[in-house]
Amino acid sequence: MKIFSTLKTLLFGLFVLTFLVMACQDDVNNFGPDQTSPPTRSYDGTFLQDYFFLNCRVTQTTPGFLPTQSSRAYGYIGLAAYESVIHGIDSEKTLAGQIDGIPRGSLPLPSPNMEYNWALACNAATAHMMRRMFELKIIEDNRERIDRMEYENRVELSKDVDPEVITRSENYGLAVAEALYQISKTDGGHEAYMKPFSQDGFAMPKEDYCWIPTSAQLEPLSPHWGENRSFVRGVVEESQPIPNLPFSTDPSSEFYSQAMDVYNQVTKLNTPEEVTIAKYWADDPFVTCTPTGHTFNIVTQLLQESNASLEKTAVGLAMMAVAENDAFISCWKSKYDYVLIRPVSYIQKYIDPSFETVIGTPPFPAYISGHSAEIGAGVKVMIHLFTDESGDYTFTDLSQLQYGFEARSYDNFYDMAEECALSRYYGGIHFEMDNTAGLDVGYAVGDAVVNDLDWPQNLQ
Amino acid sequence: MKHHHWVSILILLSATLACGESDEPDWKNDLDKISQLNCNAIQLREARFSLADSMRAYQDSLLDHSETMPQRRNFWESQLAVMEERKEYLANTSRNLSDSIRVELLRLTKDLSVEEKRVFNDSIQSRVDAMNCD
Repeated sequence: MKIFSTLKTLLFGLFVLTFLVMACQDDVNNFGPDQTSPPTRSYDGTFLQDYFFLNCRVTQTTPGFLPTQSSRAYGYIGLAAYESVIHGIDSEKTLAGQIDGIPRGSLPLPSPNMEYNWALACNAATAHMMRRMFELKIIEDNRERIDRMEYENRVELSKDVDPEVITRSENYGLAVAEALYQISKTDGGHEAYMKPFSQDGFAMPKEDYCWIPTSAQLEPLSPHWGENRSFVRGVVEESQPIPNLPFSTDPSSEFYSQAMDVYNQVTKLNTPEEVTIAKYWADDPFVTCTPTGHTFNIVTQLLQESNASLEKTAVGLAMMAVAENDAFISCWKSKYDYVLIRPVSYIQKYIDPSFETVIGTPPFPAYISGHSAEIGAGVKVMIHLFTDESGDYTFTDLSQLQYGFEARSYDNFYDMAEECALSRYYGGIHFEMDNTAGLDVGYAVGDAVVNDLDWPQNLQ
Repeated sequence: MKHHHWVSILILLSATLACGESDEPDWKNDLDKISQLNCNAIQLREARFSLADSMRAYQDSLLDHSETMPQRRNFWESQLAVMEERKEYLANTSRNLSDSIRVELLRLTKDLSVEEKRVFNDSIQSRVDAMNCD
């Protein structure tokens, strides 16, 4: 009888213990801050990473998506993904109210005390924003790829989910993405891909220091892009570079010296490795998804390698989205404030008419380098996500292997940024000052993105 | 009975060794395939850069000499039109190949550590170098 009583007590104790453990696990893993829905971190981030790999292909194959237009498209897609899941992380960290043009309360909120599946919300939001960003020029193959990815994700993510939760979550994701899309219409870059070379009243000055065409493209790209609304308020003005070296054709001038450096590098000093670096970062004729796409491919690969949850993936990609979008606006403001001549034009006119660059010179002014600015901003985000201020992190960029390049390995993010910036010098398309100032601008933008906005911490 | 015992141990040992062999990284068995894909990608990359150089040369001619050599203008433009078609072909082929390589790479490297990835890349590179893809 005593044995039976002890056994009953033990069983009851075991039951209570089991209940407590399960309740505790629910608290940590299965419910979000509102205690109604499983948190964003409980979902795998792979499906969102796949959208960004797909976005590279869509960018490559949609007419009109040049570096400026692409950075904006990646920007809004990243924002849509983030805002669709933020209430499963920390509602206070919404970018509404933090980002210029998106006032607090301007985005739909999830209904209180109702369950959401944040992965399904994110799936719907991301696919919707992709279709919206490329809408007027999207080719059928790309539309099918986006639709197929959305459908396959939906099938996978809906397993064992209440149909009402599925519908509610997808509707919420769609509403968030559509609200952001409507906001995007007023930032200055709306449907710019329809006429990327539209001058809209801009006239390049006819001075010796000014940009002149370097290819059959006679008008420069997106001259008003620097006037676009940035995501981080004030970052464009605050990150502007010091003026370029004074233009001069005097062989004893610093400007001439920088041009001679480019000339000597390209005609005499470039090693095979440096030519490879120039081509590696050139983001390749015909198959580029632009520098922004390359940087997104790297960060997405790193998220993938670290088995990032949906929480870390969405936050990481949104930070990169803001950084890339704003780096290009800041860079473009500088380009058209200074409208500086390209090295190839200067060298052919004042040093050697037969000079040829290693890679093609893109059709816009030199100061500052777009690659340098975007990678500078990008590595600040990567450092925040993966390491400490030293930037030390060992990784291999596999993203260009698929385009016939040898994979490149790095032990520090700053090393990668500097290599990317230098690649434009090896390629003969930028002066050294374009790259150093470009990196500084990028670092300033990246710092502002990481520090001036209130992002979720302790990402998992 | 004792004899059967030793046979059992031998069988168990063989099975363990066999399992040990299959524990080697999967990518070693797939190196040939990925190296061949990579070789094709290198050839396509060379073709793209070469075509881009040619197109630049004709575009430069159009830009710099259209007024001084108007009789050549049509020729340059027709050459560029032909190259545009070639460009489309190369771009499509490259993109499709890049999709295959990305999927294959993901499959082969998703569970590798950073160090293993470097070894993997070095292995691909040495094989590709031996294939003279450039």
